[in-house]
Amino acid sequence: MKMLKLTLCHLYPELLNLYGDSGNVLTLVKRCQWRGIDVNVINHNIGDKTDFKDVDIFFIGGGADGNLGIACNDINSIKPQLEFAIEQDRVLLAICGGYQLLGKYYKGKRDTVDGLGLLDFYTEAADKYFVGNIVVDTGDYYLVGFENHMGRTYLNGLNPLGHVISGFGNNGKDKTEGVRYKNVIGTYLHGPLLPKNPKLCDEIISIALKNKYNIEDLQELDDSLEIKARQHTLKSINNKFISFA
Amino acid sequence: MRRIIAIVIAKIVIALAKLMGHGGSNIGGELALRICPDILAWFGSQVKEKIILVTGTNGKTSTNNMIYSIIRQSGHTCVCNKLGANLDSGLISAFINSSNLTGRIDADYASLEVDEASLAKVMAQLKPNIIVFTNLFRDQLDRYSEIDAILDKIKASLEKAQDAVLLINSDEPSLVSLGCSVAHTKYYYGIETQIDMGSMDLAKDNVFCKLCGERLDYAHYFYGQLGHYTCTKCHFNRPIPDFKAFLQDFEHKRELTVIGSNGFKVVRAFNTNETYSIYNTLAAISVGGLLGNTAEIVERGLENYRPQVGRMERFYIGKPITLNLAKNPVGFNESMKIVRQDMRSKVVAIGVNDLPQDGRDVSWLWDTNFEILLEIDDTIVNYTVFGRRRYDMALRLKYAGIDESKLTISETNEDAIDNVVNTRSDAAYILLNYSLLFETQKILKGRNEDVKTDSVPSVS
Repeated sequence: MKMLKLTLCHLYPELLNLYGDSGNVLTLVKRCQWRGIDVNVINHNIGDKTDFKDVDIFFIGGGADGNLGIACNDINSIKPQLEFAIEQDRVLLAICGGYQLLGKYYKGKRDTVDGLGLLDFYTEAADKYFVGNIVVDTGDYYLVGFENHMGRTYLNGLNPLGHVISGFGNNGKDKTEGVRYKNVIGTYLHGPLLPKNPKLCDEIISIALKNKYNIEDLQELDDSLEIKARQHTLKSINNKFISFA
Repeated sequence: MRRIIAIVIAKIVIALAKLMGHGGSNIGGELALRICPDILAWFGSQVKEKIILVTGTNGKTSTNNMIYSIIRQSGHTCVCNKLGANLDSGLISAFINSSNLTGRIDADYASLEVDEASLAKVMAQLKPNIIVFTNLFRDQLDRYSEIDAILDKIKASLEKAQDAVLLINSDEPSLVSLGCSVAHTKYYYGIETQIDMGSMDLAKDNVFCKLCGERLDYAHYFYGQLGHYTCTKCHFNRPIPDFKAFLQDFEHKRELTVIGSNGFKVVRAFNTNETYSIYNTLAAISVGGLLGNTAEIVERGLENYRPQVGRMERFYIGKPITLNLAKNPVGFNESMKIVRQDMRSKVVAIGVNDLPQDGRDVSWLWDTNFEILLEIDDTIVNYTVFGRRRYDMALRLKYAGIDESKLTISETNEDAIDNVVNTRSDAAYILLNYSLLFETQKILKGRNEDVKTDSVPSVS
């Protein structure tokens, strides 16, 4: 059998790297490698002429406000390629600031920054940070993470990634967390997100393999350490949550 | 009267805390602050000569203690928060420790390290003559948000102290951009010799020009974002330092020479693997020069300097054990670079807590280059993880690529130290963040077999 190979594009790793985001890329790469799947990681930075044609998974992280502004100018120039990829069912995982960037705008304390407008949601800055552990029910499994954001995101009827069991989520009001459109996943969860959420990581890998090779099943890995880490965090939030691991 | 009550109560509480073994505690100062909110201003007004504040992410405690040693060497009295309690309450505790019961202090100088996010609060009360800036790395994301927000805060607090002289690291672009935006008298210190500090170029926070947004062009990197940089788009570049450090390598030692503008020249021997602490020493020497000391006093002051708890502190419990505080990606990377130079078989223990003083957000573990340890993985017989976030740390090591069979997850600090001691090896390193430090140090001290533990300065 020939070697399976996926291409992952990390968007603006130099600018958007605030909350251990590279840990998500590392987790995707390792969980592929442990299954014998080769991963080619392309870093797309400002001004790069990247060929996105073969990208199976896009990743964009969060950053300081100033850096987000710089990234925003550049990312508009690749908007058509991203739109095309999304309609081709490619995966786009966006965290925190990168997530906000996908929407229509971010209304900050000083000014309003236009987002990419790939999805019809918007974000407004509030005075207080939402900080702490968060548990989210996606319907299929539970996500465990840490959130740390000032933005309040309103989905305008789009599907959320999941519903908040404990924590704040998109805006602290409607119990939604993140967004899910086709294979675009936006979320405030970091910590980073994927090491403690192997099911989501594997779902992303499965989608990419299905898109590229029409392969349905994914080899199981030994996730006992991941599950223990999930149990430990869940228990620290509420003893009753331990079964969510 | 309020003042006296505040001081008496605080003195009793501090004494009790010491008896119970809680070092570096803020509690006495906190109580005094509550009873008498302007107590810090009152203490500050009693300092006869100068108040020096040391702020930044890494290197505050070591730099501040070296400044203290130099001032003491010059024959002056000085109040200093030596253990690194650097919130306003910690500063108050330092003054209370030096005061009599009526709150009188006899101090020529005060040299105080201040948490970078608490600077505004402290400067509302104290009028500093000199402010020393070490560096700004990402640290404790939940409390400080990001570097830009910290810079804004510092700038606002500087407006209240127009007379303060600023001493800034010229190799640190974000601090230099701060210097450019204020009208204060400024002095810069920097390393001129382009030595290799073994950096892996991870966790660079500010590679973009703060003035125009262009990517900074580096002729040389020391570590983090520290180096010799220039902006190709606007005119922002590294200022010529007023205090220049030169390094010369000999076979088994390194020599640091610091040259000031008016013939001031200090020479000091350096252990070759202490590169990260050059900046701390350079900053302290620069303060020594600014205060008008002779080179001889500065050199002798530095010789009398002893590092504080958990700064490459050495113990012997069946084998040599080195304890080092590391609080953020750059601090951990620099600590691991020291471990990497040791080829003996060893246990590496890593402790991570997420209490408010540590920062509740531990995602920085993934911005830390633990892969450094993998380079000497064949010399590491066991990785022990402990602390409240031990499972996050365990996962980080798994994804760094270590063999899970070498991993021990210890439920308590005692278990971790038992594992470090009982696992057969020639040496051990314990790297940990702030709230784990004092308890772990106490356990190690209690079991220490070697009475003369020596130590070298740390990045923290």
